[in-house]
Amino acid sequence: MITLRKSTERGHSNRGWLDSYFSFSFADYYDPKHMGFRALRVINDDRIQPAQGFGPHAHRDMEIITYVLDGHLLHRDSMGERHILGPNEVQTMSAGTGIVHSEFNASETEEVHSIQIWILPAREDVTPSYQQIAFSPEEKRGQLRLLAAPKEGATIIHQDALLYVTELAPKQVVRHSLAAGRAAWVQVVRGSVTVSGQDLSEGDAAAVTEETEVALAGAGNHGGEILLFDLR
Amino acid sequence: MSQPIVLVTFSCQTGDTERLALSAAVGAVQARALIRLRRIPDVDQGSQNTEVVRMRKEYVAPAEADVLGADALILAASADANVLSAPWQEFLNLLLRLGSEGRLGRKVGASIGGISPALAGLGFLTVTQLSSDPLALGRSVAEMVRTLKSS
Repeated sequence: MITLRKSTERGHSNRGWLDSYFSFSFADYYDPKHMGFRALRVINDDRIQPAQGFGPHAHRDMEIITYVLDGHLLHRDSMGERHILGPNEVQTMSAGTGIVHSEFNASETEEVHSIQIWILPAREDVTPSYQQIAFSPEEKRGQLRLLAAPKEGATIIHQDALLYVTELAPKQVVRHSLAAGRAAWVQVVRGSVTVSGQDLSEGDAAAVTEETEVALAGAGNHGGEILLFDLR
Repeated sequence: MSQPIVLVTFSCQTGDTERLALSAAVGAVQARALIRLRRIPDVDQGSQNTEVVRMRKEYVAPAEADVLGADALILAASADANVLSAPWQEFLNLLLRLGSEGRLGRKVGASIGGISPALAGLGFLTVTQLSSDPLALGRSVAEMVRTLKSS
C-alpha cells in the first residue's frame, strides 16, 4: 500500500530568516494524523537565509540527521564539535543524555536548503555523539547510497532504521527490497520521480507499507533526488 | 508534571564562560529540563573580536519573559567579570525588581564564577552553589526544581 503525503499538505512556517515545511507535526504545526511514521519523527525542509540560523538549543534522546541540498551549514555544539556541512555530506548527531548545539548558514550571501530528520532512538540515555561523512556524488547517482544505519558504512544511529539517498535521471530505476514487516518512507527532495508507478514531485512523500519492494524512477525532464527510509 | 525550565544567562568575551554555561545547560538537560541560553550584551558594542561577533549573532539578551518563564536561573560570569557594568546591572536590576515584587519566590538561583555575590538577596527561593562543576551544577539545579515542583 502506498499513501501519498503531498508537499502542499505539509505544515508550513515562514519566519523570514527561516522558511520551513514540516512533513510531521513540529513546533507550532500540530496535526495528530501526522506525528511521524514508525521511528521517523521529523522531516523538516528548511531554507535558511544567509548568516542566519538556530541559536544554541538543546536536544535529548533523538537521532538528528542533517542533509544539505544547497549551501553550507555551520554546526557548533557543547561537545566542542565545530564543522561546516555541505552537499554530498551527512551529519548525524545522537543527542542521547543531552547536547546543546547551534546551526547557522555559513554564508553571508547564499541561502541554505537543508533537510533535518529526527529519528526516535531505540533506547534512551546513550552517550551523545557527532558524526559527519562526505561521499562522492557518483555514489548516489542511479544507486542507493546509505547515509545512516545502525551499522558501519554510514553514520551510525541507535535505531533499526536505514536512510538512503539516490539521484535518478529520467527513467533511471532503482529497486529496494523491503523485508517482512518493514516499511518505507520516500521523501522527494529535488525534482520529480515515480514511486512504484505513482508520480511525486519535490516535497512530496510516500509511505510504503505491506509491500516487498519499492521501485523508484526518475521522472520529468531532469529526474529527481530522493531520501528513502527503511523502517521497522 | 511539566519539565523544569532552566534559564542560563552568562557574559563572555572569549568563549570560556560560554563553555561553562553550555556545560551547565547540558547538565540541566541530562536531568530532563528544558533550557534557555541567554547572553548579557557587550559593554563595547563595536568589538570585532571573532568570538564576540559570533556570540552576538548566536545569543539574544535575557528578557523579563525569560526570567518569569523559568523555574531556575543559572548565572555565569568569569571571575574577573565586571558585574557593575551597565549590561549586567540592567539584568540584575530586573531581577531585583522581580524579587521585590515577589516574582522570584518560587525560583531557584545558582551561579558560576564571579557573579555569586550579586545573586544574594534577589529574592530567589533558594540560592545554591551545589557544585563547582558546571555540568553537575546544572543537573542539580534541574533536580532541585523537580523536587520543589513535586512537593
